[in-house]
Amino acid sequence: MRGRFRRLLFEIDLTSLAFISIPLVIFLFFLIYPLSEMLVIAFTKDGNPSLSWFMDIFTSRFYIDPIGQGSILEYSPDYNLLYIQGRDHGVILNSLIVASSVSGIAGLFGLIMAFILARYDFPGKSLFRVLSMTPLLLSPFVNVFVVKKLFEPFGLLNWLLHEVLRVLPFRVYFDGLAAVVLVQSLTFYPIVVLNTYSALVNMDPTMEEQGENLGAKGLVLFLKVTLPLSLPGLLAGSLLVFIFSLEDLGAPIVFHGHPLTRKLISFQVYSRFISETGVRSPEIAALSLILLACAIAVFLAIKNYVMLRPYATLSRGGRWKPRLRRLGPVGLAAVYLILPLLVFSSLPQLGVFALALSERWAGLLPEGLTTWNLIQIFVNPRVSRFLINSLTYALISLVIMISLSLMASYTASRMRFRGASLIDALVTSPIAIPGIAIAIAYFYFFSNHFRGTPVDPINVLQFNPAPILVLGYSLRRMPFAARAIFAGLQQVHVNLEEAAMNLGAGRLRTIARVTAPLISLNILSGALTSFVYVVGEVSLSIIIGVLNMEYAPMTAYMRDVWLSAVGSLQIAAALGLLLMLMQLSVILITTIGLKQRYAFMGV
Amino acid sequence: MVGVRLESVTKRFGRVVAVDEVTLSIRDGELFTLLGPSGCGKTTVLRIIAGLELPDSGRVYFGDRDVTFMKAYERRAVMVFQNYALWPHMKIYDNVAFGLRLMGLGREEILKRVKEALKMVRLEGFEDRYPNQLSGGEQQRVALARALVVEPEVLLLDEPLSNLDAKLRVEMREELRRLQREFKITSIYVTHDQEEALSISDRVAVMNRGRIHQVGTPLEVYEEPIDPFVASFIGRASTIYGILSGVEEGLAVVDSGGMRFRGRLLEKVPEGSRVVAIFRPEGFTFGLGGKGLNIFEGVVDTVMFLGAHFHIRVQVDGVELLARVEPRMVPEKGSKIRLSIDPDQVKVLPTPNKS
Ligand SMILES: Nc1ncnc2c1ncn2[C@@H]1O[C@H](COP(=O)(O)OP(=O)(O)O)[C@@H](O)[C@H]1O
Ligand SMILES: [Mg+2]
Repeated sequence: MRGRFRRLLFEIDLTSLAFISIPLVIFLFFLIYPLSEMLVIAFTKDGNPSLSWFMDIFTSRFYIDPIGQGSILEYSPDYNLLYIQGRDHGVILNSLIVASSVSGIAGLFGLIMAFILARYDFPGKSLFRVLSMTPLLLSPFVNVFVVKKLFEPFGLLNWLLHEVLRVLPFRVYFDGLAAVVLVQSLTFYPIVVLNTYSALVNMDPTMEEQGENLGAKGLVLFLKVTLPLSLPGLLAGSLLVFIFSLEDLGAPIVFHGHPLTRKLISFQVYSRFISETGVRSPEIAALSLILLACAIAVFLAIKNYVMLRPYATLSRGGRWKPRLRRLGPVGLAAVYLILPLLVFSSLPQLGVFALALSERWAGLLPEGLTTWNLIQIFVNPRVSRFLINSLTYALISLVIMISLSLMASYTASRMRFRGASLIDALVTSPIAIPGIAIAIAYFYFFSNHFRGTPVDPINVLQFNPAPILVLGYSLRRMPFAARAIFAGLQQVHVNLEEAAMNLGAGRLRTIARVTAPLISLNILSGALTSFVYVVGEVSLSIIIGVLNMEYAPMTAYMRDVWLSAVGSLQIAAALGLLLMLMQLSVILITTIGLKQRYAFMGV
Repeated sequence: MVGVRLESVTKRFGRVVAVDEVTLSIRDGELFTLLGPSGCGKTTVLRIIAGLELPDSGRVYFGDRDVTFMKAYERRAVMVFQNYALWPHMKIYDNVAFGLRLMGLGREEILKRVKEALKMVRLEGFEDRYPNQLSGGEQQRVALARALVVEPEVLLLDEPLSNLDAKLRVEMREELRRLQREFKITSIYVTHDQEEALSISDRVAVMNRGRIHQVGTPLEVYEEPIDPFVASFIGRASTIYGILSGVEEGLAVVDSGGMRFRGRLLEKVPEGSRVVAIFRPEGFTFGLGGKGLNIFEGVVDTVMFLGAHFHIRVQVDGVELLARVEPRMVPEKGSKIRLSIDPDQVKVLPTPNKS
């Protein structure tokens, strides 16, 4: 017993104790506990344990309707219009159908892109590459609006395809669930590209050569060798897309004019929460839990195949030269046929750019070049306030995030006891937790345990969301920082730290003088990446952040353009443009300046 | 400076027993070498002494102090790592000054001592360079200076020369020996190179699979190996297994196949037990001569040129003997040859049970 205690004392010192316990306590207290509390609320009725909230949901046709209603598409001869909207299977099934369709479409399209990029060389490849990554530039809500404008019955695309090129004999109108699938597929497919690409590039080329030697060619080789080997990347990407689709609020909010679009879990939670503010409704808790359960179930189901962790270091790669072939004429033709598709998937970003610099968008295209919108976000206090809030929150979150990530990653990579990897799992877990669930759980948590204080969301008049936002942002975006730092630690030889301890430096001093300086580039790029993702965060911002507009972040302003018709679309676009420019600079700085290559949104 | 003592130290990594019941006593101020093949647990022993690893059982003492549970930064045992572990983000000056700063010395004092240390390893004027601007040998010396400058109680050297080329290796090991003598610092040196071990150590411990086989001066372990492993690991040797058929005039008589020879019995064993005999290649003489004892006839099987001399393999009654030959006397491959060895040069040991 005494011996065991002395052994423990040998392995542990004040610093390592702090490094283990601080992230653990914070995550247990501010992530696990609030979510568990929400669980309890959802399973309680009139003070007793009860399944009734779930029974109500699962027995209602509003939530689950296996038979379904409506038709996927309708043709209206009067207007010569093909109306695509999707069928209604009830809120829960709708969400699952949308998420599956999006990850399916993104998976297929992403796989093709990744394969072309990883295996072929052709003129214009860099353009191809840039275009296939463009949709990664987030500009919440505004990009959805741009897609909506472009796909309108009398919008640019219908005009082009139906009136000018006459490839389409009728106009096509996407709405309802179909529109959500369209927008999300366009936005999320590069996540699959990135993950599949790194799997393909890091694949041992002899595997494919072996297959060829055994007589497998073309499609057979692809299906029998290449595809199975790239499956971990493909699945990891598609899994992330599935979760992002489930928790997405942007597309449902922008398209909420159509009743079907409102029948998605994310929108239901959101709209009920907004309309019942101040009410601690167990039904919302139950719905959020269902959302959480779906995301976690999918995550766990394929977790064994994907192992998200190795991807942090994968892109270090370059151990072998990937197989790169020149394309034959047929292949070239095929690739150049896909190219317009890529241009098309980059249209939202181009549209945001154009909208931000124009006076209006009434017709086919934005009109009236102006810089007024851009200037407004800096000079108009009613707009700049949001920007300043966002940047402030992001900076504070950054400090928390980097400190906690450093502690957790150090523990995971340097400490030798069981459970060290648990802490690492804990800080990367927010990847699989929908932001909406965290936001709702925080609402209950803070209104329950901080009643009457400025962080009590029900205490409407005094409520200050800043601390909650900062905390939530930090935890939600932790995986980005944690992976960057973990990857850095893996590359620092432990001997370098041991040499310092040997000379008499305690652990904290060793970390400060040796470890941290050696991974400073990783810390910096993790910090930059997390920073932009905090600024672009949606769920917490528009659920908790909007409860006091004085302190709301900029994504809340961007949402307001649709829900409360205050603010200007063009200014929202200008904010979106600013956000995209920030992301672009971060990408350039980290990849070119810092030579850090772990996948950006490849998470 | 202190002596270092290990008592029944054992360390396992999962199912691998890296260090197995090691008991060692290293004297104050001596240069003690751990010699053994790669993977035998040498580094692990050093790491345990440095406090970077906690043994599963056993005790470590510095002098009379039990340091087993003391953390690395609380002991004054400094390690020079195989890969040098110089901090790439610090200049040479800062690398060397690191330990001194931790001791809370004044600027002037630090400056003086760093200069001295760099001078000692002949690297004056390198203060402002970064480690990656130095050659392997120079980095090695910085690592040494960084360790010596704090005047540790124990210096631990983990294959410090293994990353250098052959010529530099010899130079550096003389340098190391000089510095160690000068400072009289208790040093534990790890290597898998027997020549290196024999040439610089006061005493050597021969290790295999986590176990210490023999401890002694270089001459002792070479001349009087206590088991076939030590014999074959240090220098070259033919090991021949047989039965002890008797003891005549103080010499063991061994039968092995059709061969009978005599040798010096290093350990008492009953007649009829299995023994192993060790023949060093340089013990053989050729042609006639000898006292009619230990004369063998055989066929030359292989001839190997080793620079200053040759080694030949001779098949004698189905047994293979390795012998050293001067260049002017090299026999033809396939020729018949007669060779003899003084019984005093043949060491006879009991066969270790199961190994
Ligand atoms: N940290 C470790 N984890 C697992 N096994 C280890 C570790 N360190 C050493 N070993 C194992 O212990 C044995 C001895 O290793 P080591 O002390 O490094 O040998 P040497 O320095 O003599 O080459 C080897 O089998 C090695 O694989
Ligand atoms: Mg070693």
